[in-house]
Formats: sequence, C-alpha cells, structure tokens
Amino acid sequence: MDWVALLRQLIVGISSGMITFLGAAGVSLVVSGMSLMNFAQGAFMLLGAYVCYTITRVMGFWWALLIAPLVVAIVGGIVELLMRPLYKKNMLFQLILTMGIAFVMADGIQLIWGTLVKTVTAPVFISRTFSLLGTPFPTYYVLIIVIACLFAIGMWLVFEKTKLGMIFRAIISDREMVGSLGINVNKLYSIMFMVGVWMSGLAGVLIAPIIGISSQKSFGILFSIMTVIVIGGITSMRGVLYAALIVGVANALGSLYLPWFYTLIPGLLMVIVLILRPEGLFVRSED
Amino acid sequence: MIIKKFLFLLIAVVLVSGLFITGCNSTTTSAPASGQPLKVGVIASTSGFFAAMGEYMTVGSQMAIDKVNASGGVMGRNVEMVVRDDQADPSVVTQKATELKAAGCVAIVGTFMDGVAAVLNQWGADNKFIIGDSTNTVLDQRTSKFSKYVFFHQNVSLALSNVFYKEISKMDDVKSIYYLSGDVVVAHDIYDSFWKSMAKGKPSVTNLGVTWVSSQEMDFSSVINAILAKNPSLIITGCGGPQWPAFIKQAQQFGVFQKCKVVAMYGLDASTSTPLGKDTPEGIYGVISCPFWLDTPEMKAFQTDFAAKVKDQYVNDLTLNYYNATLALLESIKKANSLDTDKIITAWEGISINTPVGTVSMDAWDHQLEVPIWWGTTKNVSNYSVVTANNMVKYQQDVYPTKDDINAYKTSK
Repeated sequence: MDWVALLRQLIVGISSGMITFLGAAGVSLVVSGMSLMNFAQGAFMLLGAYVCYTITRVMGFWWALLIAPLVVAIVGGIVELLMRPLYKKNMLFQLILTMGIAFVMADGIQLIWGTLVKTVTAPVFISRTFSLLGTPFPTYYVLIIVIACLFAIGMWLVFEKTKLGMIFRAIISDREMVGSLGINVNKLYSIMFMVGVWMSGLAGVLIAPIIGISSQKSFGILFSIMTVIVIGGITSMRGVLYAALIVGVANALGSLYLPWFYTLIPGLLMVIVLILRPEGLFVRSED
Repeated sequence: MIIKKFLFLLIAVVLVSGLFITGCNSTTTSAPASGQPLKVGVIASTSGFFAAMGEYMTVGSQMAIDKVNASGGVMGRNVEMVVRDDQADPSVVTQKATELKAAGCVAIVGTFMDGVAAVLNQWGADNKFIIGDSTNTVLDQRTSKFSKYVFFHQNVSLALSNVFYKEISKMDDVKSIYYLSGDVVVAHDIYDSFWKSMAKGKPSVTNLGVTWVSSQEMDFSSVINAILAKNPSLIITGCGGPQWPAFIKQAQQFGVFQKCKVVAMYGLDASTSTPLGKDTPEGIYGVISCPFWLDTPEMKAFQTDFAAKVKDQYVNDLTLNYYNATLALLESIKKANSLDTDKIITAWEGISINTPVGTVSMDAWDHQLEVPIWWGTTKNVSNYSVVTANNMVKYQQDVYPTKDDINAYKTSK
C-alpha cells in the first residue's frame, strides 16, 4: 500500500468534508433553532462564490473572504423577513418557499453575472504546493481545513461561552420560554438565519478558487449538504461535522480504491443510514 | 372605475407581452422576400446546467439563416428561426419538438447533449420529421439506431477516437494512460474504440484505469490525486462545459501539467476555454472543429459575424455545428426545390456545403457530415484573450468511418 498516497487522499477528503460541513452546519443551526429547513442553502453558497468573484477582481481574495460571507448574510436577512409569515405553518410550506427562493436566486445570479462560468484566482502563495513526505501537496486544501477548523472552534466558543450562544441554545431547547422572558425572538431568528447562511457564504468563497462557478450548481451543492445532514442527524452540528468528514474521506478513498464505484458512495451511505438509523448516526435520543 | 379599467388593461398588456417574451421565443430574421417565411425550428439549451452555451447554439443557426436570406432565401421565401429551450433535459425536448412541428417548422435543428439529442432523434424517426442533429457524437445513432430522418453535424465518436489513437500512438514517452470523463455515452464510445485501436497498434501502452464522474461533478480533487498516485504518463479527460474550469483549477493545484501529459476532448474549444481566459495551461493536447484563430478569410468572416452578435467571445464548435446543420438543411431544400420530406432527405444525402472550415460533405450511408478535426496543443498568444492551439494537424475523410465500417458495426449490433 502507498501510504503517502493514502495520506494525501485523506487530506483531500477532509478538506472536501469541511467545505460541506460549513454549508450543512448552517442548515443544522437553522433547523434546530427555527424548525426551518432551508433548501436555499446551496444557492446561498453559490452566491458567496459569485460575490467572491466580483470582490476578488476589485479588492483581492482576502477581502472577498471577509466581505462576501457578510453580503450573503445580509441577503439572508432579507430572505428571512419574507419567510416570517410561514413560521407557524406546516414545515412543508417553508420547504417549498425555500426551494422557490433557491430558483429565484439562481435566476437572479444569472441575471447579474450572466450565464458564462466564472473563475476566481487565489493569491499565489496559497496556490503553491508544499512538501508532504517528499511529495508536493497543494497548500490551498490545507488552508481550507485550517479556516474551517477555526470556524468550528469559533462557533463552539460562541455557543458555549457567550450570552448570544446561551440564548441560541435556549431557543433550541424551548423557544416559548425565551419569548416569555421578553427577548425579541424574531430578531434572534433573523440573526440565527443570517449566521446560518453566512456559513454557506464562507464555504462558497473557500471553494470558488478551485471550481468553475456556475449558477446552475446550487441543487448539486444542496444534495451534498443534505447527505451529511441526514447521516449526521439534522439537529446535531457535531453530528454534521462527523458526517461531513466521513463522507469526504469515504469519497476520497473510494476514488483511490474504487474509481468505478465512488460516485455512488455518498448516496449509498445516506440510504443505509435512513434505513437503519433515520434520526442520524450522531443524534442521541435526548438531542 | 377608470382606474380599475386602466389596471385591467395594464395587466392584460403585461401578460400578453410576457407570453410573447417567454412562451413564443421566436426570432424573425427579416421580412419575407415573398409569401410566407419558411420556418426552421431550433432547439437549444438556453437555460439549465448548460445555459452558458445556449447562445452559441442559436447564434450559429441565425448566422446560417442570415447568410441564406442575404442570397435570396429559399425557394423565393425568407427563412425564419423559431427557438425552443429544452434546458438540456430529455423529458422536455419532445414537447418542444412537438411545439415546433405545430408551429409549421419545416425541420428541427438541435439539440445539445447526446442523451437529449437521442430522444429528439427518436421523436424525429417516430414522427417522420427531419432533424438536423447538431451535437450528437454517439456511434449507435449512426448504426443500430439509424433513422433516415436524422442528419449528423458533429463529428462521430469513432472519428475522435481515431484522431486520439493516431496522435497518442506517436508519443514514444507515453507508457501508461488514465482516462477521466463525465459518465456519458460518447465518452464510453471513445474509451472503447481508442483502447481497441491501442491494443492492436501499440499494446505496450498500459491502461491504468478509468473514472467516470457525474456530468455535473465539480469536485475532481480526490480523483486527480488518486490518478496521480498511479503515476500515468498521460491523462485523457472528457471534462467539458462548466466542468473544464473546475478540472483545470484543481489539476493546477496538484501540479498535474508538470507531472504528465494531458489530452482534452473539449479543452481547445472556445465554448469550454472562455471562462478560463488565458489561465488554461499551455501544452495540453486536444481536438477542435472550429479553430477561431484559423488564418483563412472564411473563418475571419465567421468570427466577425459572431462577434457582432456575441460580444467579447470567440466562435466555437457548438456555433459551427448549429451553423452547419442549419445551412445543410436550407441548401438541401434549395437543391430539392421542394418541401417534400423525402425529396429533402434525398438532396441532403451527399450534399456538399461551403463552411468556415472548408467544403464539407454529408455521407449518405450514416448521414454524417465530415467536418475536419484538428489536433493541436494549447498555446496562449497575444492576439486572443483565450487559449489557442499550435502544432495543428488536420484530419477529415481519413478518420471518419467508411460505408463498410458502418455496415460492420450495424451487423455486430
């Protein structure tokens, strides 16, 4: 066995998993806090990539990394206002609305940026390779892992150590109680939704330099997100992280050892989990 | 009351306008020379995953129609294009074809993607309606599923694999090959016939394997890394459309172009390479039917006409295929001097047309237009904002299947 090839593949898989985690964590947060399944998350991720494209051309990639997710969050805030009338209605209505929003966003993106595929160039020093056990390995994939890990730690700190995090956790446990304490739940919903789509905006920026950005890609992204949500457990952000890593690594190892079969792996894992443990692999009963 | 009436009228006007804009989607070239205009149906993918390419298709047909109208039209009538969008979706295309037939179109030119075109061709065969197939490359459409109502204007997979074999077998430093492509029929066709030829002509070259990715896959990182672990001396890639920039970006990250040779099925074509601008690495081998940089008056005129319709872009294989299909149809009607289906078919079989890439002829035995195929190597030059190619080698009759080849394939099926 070629251990270096295996290690390289593991890093690629983790990197891919972390991108999916960023998108999926936003969905998980919004479902947990607002009981809203956001099917437009893929479109928000794509919006992040497109905004990154524009900002990179004007101000450079690092500014895009900072600003583009914020732009996506602001758009998310506006979208959240549109969804308010449906909060007390059946989840199916919210699901259909967010799907409709995804279509509108894809067409809107096409209207603004055109149909031609866009590409983003990352700064030269992160596009270089470094020596990994004597073989060159792209720095950018490690950067993705580092940024996503920093984000995960940051999110954990916000949730566990800040007042906002405490309120978020309270909403997830008992939103009526939070409302009865005089806290503006609508405002918190807006913040929660904006944070959720900010995550997908960040994922969009991180993936932009290594893909061709196409407005028609949002449902493909959504499928990857939903796969890890189902496997990890819809309301468990920790479970989503584990699931994203499992799918990313399984996919990467599959492409090394089962090249004829590997594209089926994520879907297959999802089906198996749905049959054997529909609540997700990492959700405890008390979650 | 007056305000209500005004509002009603306003809504009515908006709705009717909307119907015209979204539903009819008809483009009229100019007023008819005499009598009713002759309608040509064009099916293109102007929305959906391949929306970026839809304009290249419709503009190709429009350019052919403009040329024919400028020289007096067909049978004294001006030609009009009626466009329908199939979203590159096989479940949509037959409905659009039915609409075009009902709209009085004499034939249909289209569509994009082999799977969608196969459905359209079957519809043409079932309805005895002429189809000028613009982009289908699959061999069985010309053999086991042959229909006299369908004519092909994109080069057949066998011709492409013959070019690959002829050129790659000359490379003495190529000892092993890995194949990476979208999981589409044409890519399987090329893979099978290429390795059949290699097994006969150069058996020393090792087949390291193949990875078929979804045709909408954008993440090739793990696949590229896995391929490099096998240390190939050459990778053949069938990634096209929106996939091509993703493949290039990720391959550059892993230093693919420094480690091995790469052959691209679509990478030389402007419809694929435009998003990358000059970021396409030099030295990638590939094939192309419409090299916009070709230094001939015909190609320069073609590019000038195209640039007048599509700003800051270059004419490409899709445009050429739609152009050729539309022009061949109209020239066949002229030759037949009739709108009778059988007479048009007879005229189309064996017709020669003057195109931007020279005079090309339609083979009667498989209804294949023998468009030249150039092999070349990517090269960035200052005159153009996207990659071009150098070391060009032109192939034409010598790579297309003969009547005997086609009969042999039909028999083997």
